[in-house]
Amino acid sequence: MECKRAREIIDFYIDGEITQKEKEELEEHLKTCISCNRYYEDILRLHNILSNEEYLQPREGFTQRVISNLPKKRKVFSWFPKPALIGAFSLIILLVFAFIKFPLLNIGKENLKDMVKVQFMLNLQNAEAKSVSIVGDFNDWQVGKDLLSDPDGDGIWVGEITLRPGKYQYVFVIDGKKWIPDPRAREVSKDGFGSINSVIEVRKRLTK
Amino acid sequence: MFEDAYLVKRTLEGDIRAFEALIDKYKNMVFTISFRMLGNHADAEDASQEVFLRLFNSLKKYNSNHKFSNWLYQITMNICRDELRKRKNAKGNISLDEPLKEQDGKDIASLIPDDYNLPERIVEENELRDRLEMAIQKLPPDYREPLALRYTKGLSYEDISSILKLPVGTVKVRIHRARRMIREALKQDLETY
Repeated sequence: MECKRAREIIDFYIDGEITQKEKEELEEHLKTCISCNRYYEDILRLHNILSNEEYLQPREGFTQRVISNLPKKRKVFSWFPKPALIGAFSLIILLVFAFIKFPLLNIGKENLKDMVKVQFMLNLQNAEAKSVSIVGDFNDWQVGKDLLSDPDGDGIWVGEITLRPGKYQYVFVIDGKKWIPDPRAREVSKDGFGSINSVIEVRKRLTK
Repeated sequence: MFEDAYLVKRTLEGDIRAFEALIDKYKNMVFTISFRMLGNHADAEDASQEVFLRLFNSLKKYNSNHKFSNWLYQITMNICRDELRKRKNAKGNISLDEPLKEQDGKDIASLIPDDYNLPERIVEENELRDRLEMAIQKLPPDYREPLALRYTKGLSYEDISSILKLPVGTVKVRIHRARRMIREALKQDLETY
């Protein structure tokens, strides 16, 4: 193969487009011909640089710039509903919240208005006691939470508890040990354990 | 290919994200072609934006029997040609870049002597790359176009033939000549040292 012919097909060789026979002949020629070899290497190098496109890119944000320059047609409304939807959603949530909140406040006010101060009394003139608790539904039967007191030491223990209207069972507990019903109670109830609880019914105040 | 036709359909139905996907898919190729045609980043980016804008406005015309990417690159070539024409008119008829001329009627290969010696090689790859890109700018448009398309990912000779409306054989010959011209130009650059 002569150089003239070799030069002709080197490009096809680089592009992978020559026959096997031509390839063999060319490679034979390139083994010995320095100038053709240099020519081949130069073209190959240019080819490789051009083939590496990693460095050719538009600046960041290109896509967004294109989008923002598009004509504002009616068709492009797929992203329109979103802000409106979010706004509507927020409004609904707010309203639901408001409805929930307001009734709670009303209940609160209602409770404060209707709560009744109830007096309790236990006569222990014939016995000695260091403490008297009242335990019942209204305080989860916790001893020591609500206490009666005997300020003037005459054995008459008194106390006041604020209760919502309703029915409550209760007893007194003396010195944390002795559980006794209220002798003054109008109503009693069996507690299922063989004991008797006192029952008090608290009514709403009729006066405003 | 089917994906492209689907994205076009979705865009026409109003889904802008489908168009974003198209842009993301092709922006680097469009930019590369524009850069090789126009020679600098700023012009290439302006042209690329223009390409997608024109694409968006012409989507209704798209015929799914044709390859979407070829159509897109046709738009790209047209916009680049417009820009080159503008430049030419702006400077009058005096072109500052002297285009590389091919010897009429003679085969380039025959001009190269058998004992051809290349001057000292440029080792720095970046430097060579810059000079290469400059040399491409000196190519006549008829040679620059197939070269720009040839070195875009995913384009076959058939694709280039379809985009430029030239026979495949012609496309190949022009690409070969373009490379040789570039090599010649780089040789001359080296000789000035």
